Amino acid sequence: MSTPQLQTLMRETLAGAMQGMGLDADSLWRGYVAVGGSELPRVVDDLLAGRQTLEPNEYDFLAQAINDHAVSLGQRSVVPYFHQLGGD
Amino acid sequence: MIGDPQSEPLRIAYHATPLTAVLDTVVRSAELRLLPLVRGTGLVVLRTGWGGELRAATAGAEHLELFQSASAGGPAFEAIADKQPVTVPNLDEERRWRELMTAARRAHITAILAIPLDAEPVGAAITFYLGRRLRSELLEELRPVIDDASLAVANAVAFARHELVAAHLKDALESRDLIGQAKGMLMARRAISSEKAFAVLREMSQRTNRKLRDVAQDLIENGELP
Repeated sequence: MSTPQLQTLMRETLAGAMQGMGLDADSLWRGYVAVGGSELPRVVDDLLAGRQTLEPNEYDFLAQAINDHAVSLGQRSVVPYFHQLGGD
Repeated sequence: MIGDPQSEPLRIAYHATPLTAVLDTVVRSAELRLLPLVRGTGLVVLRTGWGGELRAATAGAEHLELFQSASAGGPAFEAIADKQPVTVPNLDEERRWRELMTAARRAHITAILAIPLDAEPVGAAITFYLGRRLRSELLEELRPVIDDASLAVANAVAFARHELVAAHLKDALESRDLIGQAKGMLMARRAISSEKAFAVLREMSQRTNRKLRDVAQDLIENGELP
């Protein structure tokens, strides 16, 4: 279940990690597709901006894309998955 | 009159030509159409999206263009910033870009003309190092040369960007395929759903601090998770 608070938490978690790593939206989308995400870039933009509800599985694809980017930069993966944020 | 009005427009096979080679062709073609007025021609392309700048120059302009690039300043950079041609009709009277002016005088350049190209989203300008005085009609006469160069640079940059995007997507699809195979193996072995198989892979990725693709590849190659 994804409450409004969890929606905000997911978006803020993704946005903070993207900003911290200097990851732009195009690169995030490519990483998201690489791990199995299927939405178009404009839909992912809407998910990140809160214009569409961010489903847990989509969040996990995006979290994985950011974590893979962190690994490629030689950093620890930093973004928790949905269940680690308190979702069920 | 500059150039031959009947001349063939600049033809470049983008699919077979690296971007730097296209830029070389542009400066050589432009210079050929200005002979014997010009002693050297340079081209600078900024805001490429790849970081840094791209440059090309004919033999007579190579060392002069380095002065512009080294300081990220000069007639070409000003032409890009202002989106207006920049003329230096008399090098002795020009107070800006002193090192460039000194080197140009040594190369027997008498005037410099930098013209911005219409090649958005990149910024680009072509610089002509002239061996004769700058005539007022020259800018208008150069219009077909500049139009050709603008089109060639814009197309070459767009093609190179598409190539880069295609390469990135190819890589993403290869990863996706590996992860799909690994998920399929886990689903079959453990009788679990696709979502659960993805969860198994991503937990392993997080625990070992490895990319999901690499975890998936290990499973496919070794038959087991690391």
